[in-house]
Amino acid sequence: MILKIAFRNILRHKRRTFISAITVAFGLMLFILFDSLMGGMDRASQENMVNLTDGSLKIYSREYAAEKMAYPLKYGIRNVNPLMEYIKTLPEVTGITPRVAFLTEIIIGERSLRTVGSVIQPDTDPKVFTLPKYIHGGRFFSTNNTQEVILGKKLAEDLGVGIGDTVLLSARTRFEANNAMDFEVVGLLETPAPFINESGIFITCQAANQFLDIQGFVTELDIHVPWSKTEDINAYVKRINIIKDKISAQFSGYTVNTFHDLNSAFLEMMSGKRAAQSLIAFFILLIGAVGIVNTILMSVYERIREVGVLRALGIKPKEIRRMFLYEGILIGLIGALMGMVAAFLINIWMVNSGLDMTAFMKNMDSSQMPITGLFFGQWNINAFITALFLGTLISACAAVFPARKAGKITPTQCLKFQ
Amino acid sequence: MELLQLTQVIKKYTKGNIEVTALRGVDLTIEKGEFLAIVGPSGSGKTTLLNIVGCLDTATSGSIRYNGTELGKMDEKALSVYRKENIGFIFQAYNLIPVLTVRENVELPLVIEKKVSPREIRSRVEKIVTKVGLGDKLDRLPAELSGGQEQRVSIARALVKEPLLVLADEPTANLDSKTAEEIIELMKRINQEKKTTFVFSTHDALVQRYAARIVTLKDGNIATDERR
Repeated sequence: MILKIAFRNILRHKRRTFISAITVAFGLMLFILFDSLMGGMDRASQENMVNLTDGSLKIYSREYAAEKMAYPLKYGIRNVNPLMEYIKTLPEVTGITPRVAFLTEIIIGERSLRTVGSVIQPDTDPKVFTLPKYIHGGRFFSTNNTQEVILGKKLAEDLGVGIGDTVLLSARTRFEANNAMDFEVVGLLETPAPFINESGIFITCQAANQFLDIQGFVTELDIHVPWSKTEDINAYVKRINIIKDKISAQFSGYTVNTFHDLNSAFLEMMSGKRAAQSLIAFFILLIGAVGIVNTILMSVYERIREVGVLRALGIKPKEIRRMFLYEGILIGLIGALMGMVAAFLINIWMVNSGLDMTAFMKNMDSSQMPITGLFFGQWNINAFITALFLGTLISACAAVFPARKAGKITPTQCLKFQ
Repeated sequence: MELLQLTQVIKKYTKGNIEVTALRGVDLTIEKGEFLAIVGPSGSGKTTLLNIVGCLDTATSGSIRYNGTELGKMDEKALSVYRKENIGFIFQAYNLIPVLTVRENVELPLVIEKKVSPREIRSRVEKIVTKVGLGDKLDRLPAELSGGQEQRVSIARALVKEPLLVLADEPTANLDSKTAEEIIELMKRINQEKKTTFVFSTHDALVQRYAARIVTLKDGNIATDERR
């Protein structure tokens, strides 16, 4: 009977219920959409790491790993071939490619920029990295042509060069000699990873043999393990860690890192952002809770004689409290459902079309972010369940105060013949 | 047979800084099965007397005995049980639960008590609602009824637990004279059939015609006590 009265009272004041529920709905909708956007950003960042910058796994020599921030060309991977042959036998690995990172200065007339270049092998690199997909202008390396370079599009724009232009690269060779060489720009890269767009320089192994005197020497091996859209990061990292352990057990003297190991600081920062997101959503929900407190309090004062009748008929104070508590919970539930439906509909658009944050990110140092301005949402059923649970819980908490007030009303207070 | 005995009941309360004495030593005995009207001008103490008899208010001094039990010594919890088990209330403003149907409003006291089976509740509710002339409106909400019909529902609710005493404060004040007469006739009929004691306050001369006993209050005292 108590639940029946609560339910009918909610329906009786439809407009009031709707307004209270909508504040809860708004808070929960933002919570779900924040989660979706953050999840989408996380996923896109992680995919960029795997597909564009780090591969699923990266192998260095131990000496190189210890000094890798200095990009030392003196520490290469010894016995590359047996290592590669072994990795190729691992069933989950679909691509392996060598790379050499080197410090270089790109010079155009009087302008120059110091950056890190990458030596890649054009036939195997696309099996690990998806660079060819992001060539916007020009082409990928067709052969091991010695005189070609591919640049990040933003870098090329900053330097004022285009397809067919010649740039001068200067670097120290593997044997510490200074060298400089002209390269023809054959392709421009515009990837979802801003770091590549702003400072990416790619040359072929053939070119590096002459330019850096590397002669088959490599500083890293990059491995690709396919990652399906439906697999979450934890499962994927677990899977590649097994491969990492297999390689480490088979070959000593190497450092094997997953993309997760290499970007742990960034990934931790992203987790921090998630905590901030939850806090924001919590405050929005608090506003909703104030709305519920107000609605239930209004209801208590408006129905003071009704409460009196119920008390006079023998309903206990705890049942009166429960009645108003149910009303709060019902408003919360309605709000949560409204918020979930709204979030669901908006998220369809966010997942499929993405949210263009380019203008917002223009003034940010995007080189630190492995993602560009178009952010896609992500489906996360847990966020919906959490929203439902949170909405109901907060509404229940919000209703406690007015419900207690209602429970304290004595029948004599409100029923006295007047 | 004596149901209620009030001896030297005094009720004082403060209104702002002024002390008001609403009842000044009232002595009144109410027999079982009486149909008693309390009349008097505004401020004479009618409503205060009904509140004290119904345990909705406490007396400043004096004794109130119900069926031999002294009510003045009971705490709020005991008074609540007494109220629930012995008294039916009829309010001027009906005080029906607006979201419940006629049937649900009337069955509420029995549902809360949880002593009667659902089948018994159904049969008792239908019987009493038919008795007050609303058998065809069991599933209507109070908002769909006229004032007179609402008051009938309120009477049915007061009677469904078959209390010994029904208190009614100006039960016809919000009704037109024809409906008021119908309501008072209904109360009188139940009083005669079930021997339920009715104590009601009224200003209405038409209603007073039906009372078997009229107690007139003036300035907190019983001015006249007339049996017919």
